[in-house]
Amino acid sequence: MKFTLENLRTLLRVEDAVALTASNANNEFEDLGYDSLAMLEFSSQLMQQFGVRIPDADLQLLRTPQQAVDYVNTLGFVAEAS
Amino acid sequence: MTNTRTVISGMGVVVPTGMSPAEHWESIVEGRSGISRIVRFDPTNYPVQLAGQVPAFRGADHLPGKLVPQTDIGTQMGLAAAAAALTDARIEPSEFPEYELSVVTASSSGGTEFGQREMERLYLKGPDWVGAYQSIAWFYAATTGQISIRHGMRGTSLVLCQEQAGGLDAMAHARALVSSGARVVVVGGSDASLCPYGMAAQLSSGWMTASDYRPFASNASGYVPGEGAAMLTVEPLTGAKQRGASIFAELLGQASGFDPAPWSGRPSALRRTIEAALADAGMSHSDVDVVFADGVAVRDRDAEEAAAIAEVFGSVPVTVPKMLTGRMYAAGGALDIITAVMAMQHDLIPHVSGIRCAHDIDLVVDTPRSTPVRIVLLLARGYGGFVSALILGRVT
Repeated sequence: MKFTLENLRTLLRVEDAVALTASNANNEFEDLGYDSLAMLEFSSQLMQQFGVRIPDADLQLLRTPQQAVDYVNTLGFVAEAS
Repeated sequence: MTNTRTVISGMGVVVPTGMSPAEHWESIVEGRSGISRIVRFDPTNYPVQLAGQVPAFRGADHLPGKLVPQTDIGTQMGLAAAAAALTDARIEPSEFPEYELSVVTASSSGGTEFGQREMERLYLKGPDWVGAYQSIAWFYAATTGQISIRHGMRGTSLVLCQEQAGGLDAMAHARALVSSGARVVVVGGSDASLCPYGMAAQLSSGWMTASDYRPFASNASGYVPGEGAAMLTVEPLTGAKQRGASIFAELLGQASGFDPAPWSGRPSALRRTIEAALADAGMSHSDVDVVFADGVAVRDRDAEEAAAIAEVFGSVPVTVPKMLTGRMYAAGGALDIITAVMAMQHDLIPHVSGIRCAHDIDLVVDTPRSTPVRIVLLLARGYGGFVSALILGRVT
C-alpha cells in the first residue's frame, strides 16, 4: 500500500482548506491553507495512525503535498491503516 | 482617563437555559432550569452529579469544520456566542479597520476537556500521541484568540482569569478599550469544564453541593456548576448611534476589589467595591433598582454578601438568576449582564424559586416582580478573592 494524497488529506484534519488534488499537489502548503500547526498535526497523526515517524528537521523541509507524500513513501511506507 | 460612553449593542448565548437571549429570558421568567444529571461523563463516583448543561450543542453545527478538531468545547461555545452577538448587533467586522476591533473574554478553566483527552494520550501512549492542537486549545486565551482570528478583530485583545468575577471585569476592560479608540469590542466569557479533570479541580474549593443550588437559602449547601458562553458587543455610544444600532444598555460604572485572606478576619472587599462602582457611575445607592447578586450558596459567604448589600442599600430587590444555569464561572458574569439587559427591557425582575431566604435582604422569590428596572448593579465573586461590581443602565 502506498501513501496517497487522500491519506495526507485525512491526516491534516483541516476540513476547510483547499482539497488536495493532483493538480495542486505541487503548491506550497501555506498557499493551500495549511499552517505550521497543521503540519505538526499531520506528523502526530501519521505516528498515531500508521506508526511512521518524521523527524522534526525533515518535517520543516516538506513544502508541498507531493513532497510530503513522496517523503512518506521513501520511508518504506507499508503499513495498513490501523 | 475619562471614559467614553460605552453601550451594549449585541448579545449571544450558548447556555443551559437557551440558545438565544430571548429563549434564555423565557426560561428564567418561567423558572425553567437547565440543570440535570451530568451527561458529559459518568458522574456516578463523584460527589457532585448535577450541572447546568447544553447537551444539544455540537460545535460542527456552528463552526467551520476546521475549528472543531482544533478547539475545546468551551471555545466552541464561545465562538458560537460571539458570532451570534455580532449578528445580533448587525456588525460586519470586515467593514471596520481590523486594528480597531478588540476581543476581551474571561475564562476560568481553559480547554480542560480537550486537555484531559490529550494528557490521557500522553501518559497512556506517549508524547507522539499528543495532537498538535493541544498547544493552542487548552490555554485560557484560546477563546479570545479564535474569535479574533475568525472575525479579523486584531486590536488589543485580552483574556481574564478571575473565575466568576471575570465576566464582569471583562466589561470594564472593554470600556477602557473603547475609551482608547476601539470601535467594537466582543466581550464576555465561556467555560465548559464538565469532565473528570475539570470536576476534580472545581471540587477543590469545597463550595459545591451534592444537592440543589439554593442561593441565600436557610438550607444553602453550595453551588452546582454550569457550562456555557455569553458574549456581547460593546461600542462607543456615538458609533452605535451613527450606524443606527439597537442600543440595549450603557455601562455606567464598575469597580474591582480583592478579598483579604479568609483567615485574616478582615471584612470582604464587597462593600467598598460596590461603593466604588457607585462612585464611578456618579450615583447614589438609591438609584439602583435591583442587585444581581453573586449568591454562591455557601452559608458564610452568602451572609457576607447579604450584609454588604444591606449596609450599602438598606433595602433593594435582589435576585440570583444563575440558580437556573448553575455557576458558569467566567460565562456566568457575562450571562448576568445579558439577563440584566432583558430585565430592563421587560421591567421585570426575575425570581428564584423554592428559596426560604435566611438573610435580611429583599430576595425576589417565587414569581418575577414587575417594576421599573432602569439601573442594575451586578456582583460577582471569583474563587481566590476576586470581587467585581458593575452598573448598567438604560440609554435614554
